[in-house]
Order: sequence, then C-alpha cells, then structure tokens
Amino acid sequence: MADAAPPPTQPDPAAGGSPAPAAPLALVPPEVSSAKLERELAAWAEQEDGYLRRGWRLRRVGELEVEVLFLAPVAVDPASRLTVVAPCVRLRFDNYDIVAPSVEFVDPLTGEPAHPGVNAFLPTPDGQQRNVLVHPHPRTGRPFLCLPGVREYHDHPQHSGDDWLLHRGRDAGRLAVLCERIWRAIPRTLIGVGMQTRWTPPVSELRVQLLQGDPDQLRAIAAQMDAASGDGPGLAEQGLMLAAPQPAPAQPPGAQGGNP
Amino acid sequence: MPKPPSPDNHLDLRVVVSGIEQQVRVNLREPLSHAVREALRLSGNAGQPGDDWELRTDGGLLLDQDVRAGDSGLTDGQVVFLSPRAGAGG
Repeated sequence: MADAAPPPTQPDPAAGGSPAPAAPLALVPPEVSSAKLERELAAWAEQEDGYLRRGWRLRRVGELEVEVLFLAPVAVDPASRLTVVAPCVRLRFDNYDIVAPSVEFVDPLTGEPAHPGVNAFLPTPDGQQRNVLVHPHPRTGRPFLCLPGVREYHDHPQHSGDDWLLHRGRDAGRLAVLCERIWRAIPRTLIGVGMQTRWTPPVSELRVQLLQGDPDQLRAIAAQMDAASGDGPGLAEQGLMLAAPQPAPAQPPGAQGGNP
Repeated sequence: MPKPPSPDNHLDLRVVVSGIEQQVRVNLREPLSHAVREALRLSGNAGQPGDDWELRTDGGLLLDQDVRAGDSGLTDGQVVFLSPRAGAGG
C-alpha cells in the first residue's frame, strides 16, 4: 500500500517564493518507472546523432529525471549567427507512466526553476499560432507547457476532462515525443534578435529579445523570393541564414516578439 | 548518407516513431501514408489513424502524407520522424 503523501507546503510570504509542488503519491514502484525511463534513454542513444543535429543535449540524467538543453542558431546579422539555449527543461518520470511526465523550465546554468524567456508557438488546426507556454500554473506557480502529455497540463483544473490516460497509449509522454514538441514550439521558432531602445532623459533603456516566427512560412517566403529573383541558389537553400549582406527585411508574417 | 532511390522503385526510410527507429520500405508510387501505416504497425501502434500522427524531416519540416513517396524529395536511408499530433493546447 502506497504511503500517504505529506501535506503540501505553504508558501512563505516573507521569502516571496511560490508554493513548492506537493509530493505525489507513490503509485508506481520506482524501479518500474526507472526501467521505463532507461528504455527511453536507450532509444535516445540510438538517435543521438540526429538529436545533436537538432540541438538537443542531455544536460543531466538523475533518478527518474532528465534535463535537456535545446540549442538553436539565431541570426544576429545577415552574415553571422549565435547559438542560444532556449529552453532548458527538467522532465520528471516519477510514477511513470500511470502519471504523465512533468516538464519544468529551469535555468541551464543553475538548474533552478526559471522562465525560459521566450514563448512556445504551435499551429492550431486552422493555421494560427498558439502560445502553449502558460504562466503561472495554479498549483506550481511556475510557467508550464499547456500540452497533452505534460503532467502540468493534465493537473490543470481547466483540463480535468482531458485525462492523461486518454493520451498515454499514443506515446504522448515519451521522452522523444515531448522533446519533439518542445523543439518545434520553441527553438525551431527562433528566427532572430530584436532590439528596442528608449531614451527618456535621464532614463535610457536597451532591450534585446529573441524573435520568434513560423520557420516553414519564412522558408516558403524565401523560396518565392528566390523564384522571383531568378538568381539561382538563394535564400531558401541557405535556410534563414543569409551569407551575404542584405538590407534589413520587413518583419515577415507570423514573426512575433519573444516577450513572455 | 542518403542514397538515390534504388532501381527497384522502392524507397527505404528510417522512420523514428516516438523515438524508436523502424525500417520501412514503400513503393515510389505509394503515398507516404503507406509508410506511416507501416511504421505504426511495426512500432506496435497498428490501427491508429495516420492523421493522428505527423511525419517530419529531421529539420522539422512537415511532410504531406498524401504525396507519393517518389515525389516527396526523400531519399533511400533518410531519417524521418513520426510523432503523435500535439492536439489542442494552451
């Protein structure tokens, strides 16, 4: 018989911290969840070369948890790009897979919970872009991915009708599947860097932010520009990175600022 | 390194289904949905509708499952990724 979970801790107003997540009931023997996680990691190792090309890096593997870094190239000017970490996540597989994995955004340097500093865009069936990074979660007080297959989604009171067990059999909580969704929603949507300046004496402000957009739409635009120019291999083949100095393009459709 | 299509008019793909690779062969005249169905069968997901899954290149480009394999631009030995559709979120 599983031990009863200890009562959730209360937030300390003086410390200003958000409530710590309550310890979950032990529904699945840890060795079972551990064996399932080992299978996920073994499958990861088989595909590691492909994941490395996508920018996926295992930062740390612990007991029933995995931290994954997502690296993405971002154009900072027409001739060069910078590699950024966006995001870094900790996936917890306690009670896996009777309970969906937990996905938490963490600072890549300290491992502490942190907002990733960008949004997470996925297309809706009607072609619109929806931000699936929601903040805060009513239980954890932290930003979370509002997607089936993520524990924080199924824990949310607004999704009580969309139980994890409806998605479990479709691989929604597999390590590779969750990483695929995170990658498509965040690092794959990073298309550049934007800067805003403001000077209202005596205050001056410079804000730098990552720009996000639909890379497939931009690639289609680039292909149209190539076809219109007739200059041979051009923007489409270079992806979103331009090898030669170009005039600053107008902000393409679907591009959005990365302010959380 | 991906090879040009083999002379037997088939396309051999490495389909990574939810992180696990399956070797799938499809005729060049068949739509990619046939490859999806075969990959799902091999991965223990037989019977699941192909429309509930997304087939993407390693660059993340979504592939149209109605396109014939021979017209898809894919080459022998190429890795593609098959994952369940994300569904409503946000």
